[in-house]
Amino acid sequence: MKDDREKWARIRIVMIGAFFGLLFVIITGRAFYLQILQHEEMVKRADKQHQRIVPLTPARGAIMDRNGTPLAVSVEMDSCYGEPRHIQDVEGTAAVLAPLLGTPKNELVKKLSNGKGFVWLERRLTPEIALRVKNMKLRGIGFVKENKRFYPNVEIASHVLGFTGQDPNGLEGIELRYDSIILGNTGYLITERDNLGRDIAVKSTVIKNTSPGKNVILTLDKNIQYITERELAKAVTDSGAKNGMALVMESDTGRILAMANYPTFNPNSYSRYSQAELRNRIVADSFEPGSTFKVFLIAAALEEKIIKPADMFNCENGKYKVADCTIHDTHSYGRLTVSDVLKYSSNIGAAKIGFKLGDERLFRYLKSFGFGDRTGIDLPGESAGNLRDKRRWYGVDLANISFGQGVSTSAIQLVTAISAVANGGNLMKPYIVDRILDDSGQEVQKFEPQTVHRVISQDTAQQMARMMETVTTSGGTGMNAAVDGFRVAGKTGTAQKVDSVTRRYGAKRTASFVGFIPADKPKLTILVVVDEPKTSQYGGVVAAPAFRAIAQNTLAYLKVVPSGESNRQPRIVEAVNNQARANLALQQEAMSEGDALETPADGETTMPDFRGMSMRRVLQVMEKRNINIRLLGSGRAMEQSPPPGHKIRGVDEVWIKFTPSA
Amino acid sequence: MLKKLENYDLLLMLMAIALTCFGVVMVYSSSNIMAAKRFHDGFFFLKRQGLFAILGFAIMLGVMRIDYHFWKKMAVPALLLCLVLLVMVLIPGIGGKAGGSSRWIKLPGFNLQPSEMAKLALIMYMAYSLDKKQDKVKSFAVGIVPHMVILAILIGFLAMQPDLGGALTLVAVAMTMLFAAGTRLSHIISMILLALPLLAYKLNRGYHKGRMEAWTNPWSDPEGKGFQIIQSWLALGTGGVFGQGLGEGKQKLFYLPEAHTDFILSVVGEELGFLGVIVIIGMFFLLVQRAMRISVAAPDTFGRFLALGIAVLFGIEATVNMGVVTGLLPTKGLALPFISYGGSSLVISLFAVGILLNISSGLKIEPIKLKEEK
Repeated sequence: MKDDREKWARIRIVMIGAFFGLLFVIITGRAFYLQILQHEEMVKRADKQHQRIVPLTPARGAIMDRNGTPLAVSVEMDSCYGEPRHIQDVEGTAAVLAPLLGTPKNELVKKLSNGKGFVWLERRLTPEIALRVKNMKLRGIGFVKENKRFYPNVEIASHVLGFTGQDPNGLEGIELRYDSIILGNTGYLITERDNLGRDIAVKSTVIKNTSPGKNVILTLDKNIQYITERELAKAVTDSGAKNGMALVMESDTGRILAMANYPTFNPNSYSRYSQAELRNRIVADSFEPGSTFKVFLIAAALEEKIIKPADMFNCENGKYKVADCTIHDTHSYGRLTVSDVLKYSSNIGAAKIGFKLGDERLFRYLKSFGFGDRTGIDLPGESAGNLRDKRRWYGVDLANISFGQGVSTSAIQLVTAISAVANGGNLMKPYIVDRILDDSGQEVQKFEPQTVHRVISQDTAQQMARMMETVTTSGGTGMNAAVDGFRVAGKTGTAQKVDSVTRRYGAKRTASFVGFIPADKPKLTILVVVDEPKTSQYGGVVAAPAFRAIAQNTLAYLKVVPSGESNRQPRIVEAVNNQARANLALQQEAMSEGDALETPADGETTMPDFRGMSMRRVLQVMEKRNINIRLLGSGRAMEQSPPPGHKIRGVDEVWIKFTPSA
Repeated sequence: MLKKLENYDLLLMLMAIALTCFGVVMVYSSSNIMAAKRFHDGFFFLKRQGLFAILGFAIMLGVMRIDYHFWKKMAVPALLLCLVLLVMVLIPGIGGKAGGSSRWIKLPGFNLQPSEMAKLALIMYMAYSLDKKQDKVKSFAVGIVPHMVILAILIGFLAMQPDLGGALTLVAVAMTMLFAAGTRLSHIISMILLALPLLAYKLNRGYHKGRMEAWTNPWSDPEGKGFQIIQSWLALGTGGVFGQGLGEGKQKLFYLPEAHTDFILSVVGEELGFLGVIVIIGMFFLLVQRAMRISVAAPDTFGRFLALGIAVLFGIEATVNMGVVTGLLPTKGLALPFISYGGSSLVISLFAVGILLNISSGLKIEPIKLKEEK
């Protein structure tokens, strides 16, 4: 009896299992019907929904310099769309819109009669056009705010900032490297019809970006960047060179204050430039450094106590055979001290120091200075340069590398390595983003200077600094880099370029100057590289003057007081600095030229009333008056400090708070 | 005391874990924008469901090691506890209201849904009772009446919430268990016939009436009563074979109400296509079949009915939810077990899997071999 019952229970359970199996089969069949057989019908129906969800370009956070001056901003612009099913007079509507939108009428007719619920007509219209179309109050034509990336300073720091594409993603530079932080979430436009269908009253809802992008504050200073770009441009054009690079770094911290490529580009219309013009060569390209490399050779030899600054080397009167090659000096020298090898840039002297140091130690120190490895700077596409492993150094290689041939470095590597000499021996990790703020201006992340490791001792670094100072004194190769009132340490470089066709060294040169200032208490490390100059090929002639101009103007801007000591004969220092400051003011005036806004009679000293203005308008006004401000949030200006009419001078911080318009 | 892992039905465990993990992903995909809008945290539901999954796995692994005969002793206390909780739900201030019904007890950090617990408690009680009565189930007075009284009390409370879907689930589970135990079909059918007028009356009133109309002819009012089911069809339909891609679905944005709970399968269909839906159906099929096998092979009557009840519960919940989402059944307000967002449902389901696993550990049913034996 019991077994019988158990048996029947099992049979019934199997029946139940089979029943569920059948149910799953039915559901699978139903899913097949809906998803496969009805697929196209459903896609068509979804397309015709009364409601329609359209993704909108998300807002990107701003990129600002270290003073809060905006370098890249998102500006809200009107995009125009049509809802074809609500338009009765397609022909008429198209006829009115065609001239305003600049689209052929028949194209508009086609768009507006496709029976869909939604169609973009023109995105990101200029405010004037948008206003005119809006005023016509056309039925079935709507507007929604979308964001457009705008670079208010045009070409300034363009290679650092990068740019964004047609879609809102960053394609180069900071825009690319910090894309996920800068980019906000996608917003949606929902258009819908009165639910009961009585009238075709169109209403649309915008689902705001749920999290707006964050703002990135760079270590760059717009004014120093401007000085650097201007002087670099002058150096490149004056010498008839192909292009150039310049970098200003804080010696102690590795913060980049300016990073300039010439020629520049306009990120507002990047598509007009070639890929080569858009590349930030400072991090992406490497070049043979030439004599600037002697600094690292001598630093290594001093650190290893193989030489002393006063040791004498026979420079063989300008010709010296190594293996089956002959090394030449530009001028012939007899016996030179180590210090003079640097001052006069003797290749033969450098080669002999190199032999004394040996390939193993030279390689180790160069590696330690960061050559052959990426610095890890927060910019995309960094090159590691080329420092061959010492096991692959043959014949004349040790001699060549001693004076910077047969190796390559990026500009950022070189300036970072020289900074290590300047700051007392620490290799710093270079960086260009100082902090990240959320959309309400709250700090979310702060980047601090990072020491990679110590390369040389404080003692060696100080001895190097003193020797590098002689380079800019009378008779040195870098005399043109001397700055009145300051001691300058530096080194020239004039490297032969490898001809891309013959694969041998040709007539073309890379002229450079790298140094730090003030030499006794360095603040700035500056590098100027001029590629293929024509008027003269020497770093001391082509690059050193640009170094001086950048250093002089930047120190004046930073209000660094001259020590009075100078490599050159001191002149009336104060007057020079005043002159430099006046120049700067003039240039800033020039930068804001072309702005249609009037400057009010009361000058620049009072705060205008920004409330209610759009960010773009605020930028225009600020630009005109050369005020550094912090822009917080997005939308329309709601609050400001100081209040309208108050004096700006003497106020610690000028800020404007924006709130999205409802 | 601890048994080796391969003694348990590992395929069943794998299905439960896979469905749960899949559910966590889909809960995130279907809720992130809504959550970001409502809670300013797109991860709101993901975080919670993830925590519930971890809690559920821990409970499953714990329950798996408890001899299932323990639940025989717990059957009556569990039932009483559920009744207390079901009463508490109805008390304003304790019970949480949502969409016209109060189904939760608000606790710090989460909401407890007693109706989920009631399902398991009823199964335990039925298994205990059927085991005790053995052959006497064929008599109307012993086999039917006591169970019907318990059932009537439970569904009475559920109907007051109202949670009609939950009530019908309980009825279906109880009837199926009685059927397997050998209750005369004529008794079961007459009970159902008796209940029909009551059901018809309930369905013809306000809240449920609309749902019935929406089911029979959704296109008569596509933007009103038929809205939900049409949007579900559109989501499934636009998915096609391969779907729009995970996270790319649009219906979930604002069209599809309850995208992360009852209608999560529509989001699966839209984003992962017919293939994604088949995988889900397949996993549920395997899960139910493994549970049925455990029931068939169970060493004693209590284990058999306990396993059967759980198998039927999963089977009914899954097929009814899928039936609703595909429009085969009227909207019920029933979650898809393991997948839909909801802590009580997920934890109770994994609890039940733990019981099944324990029953399976005493059996010799096609143990999955971790290593090939030579």
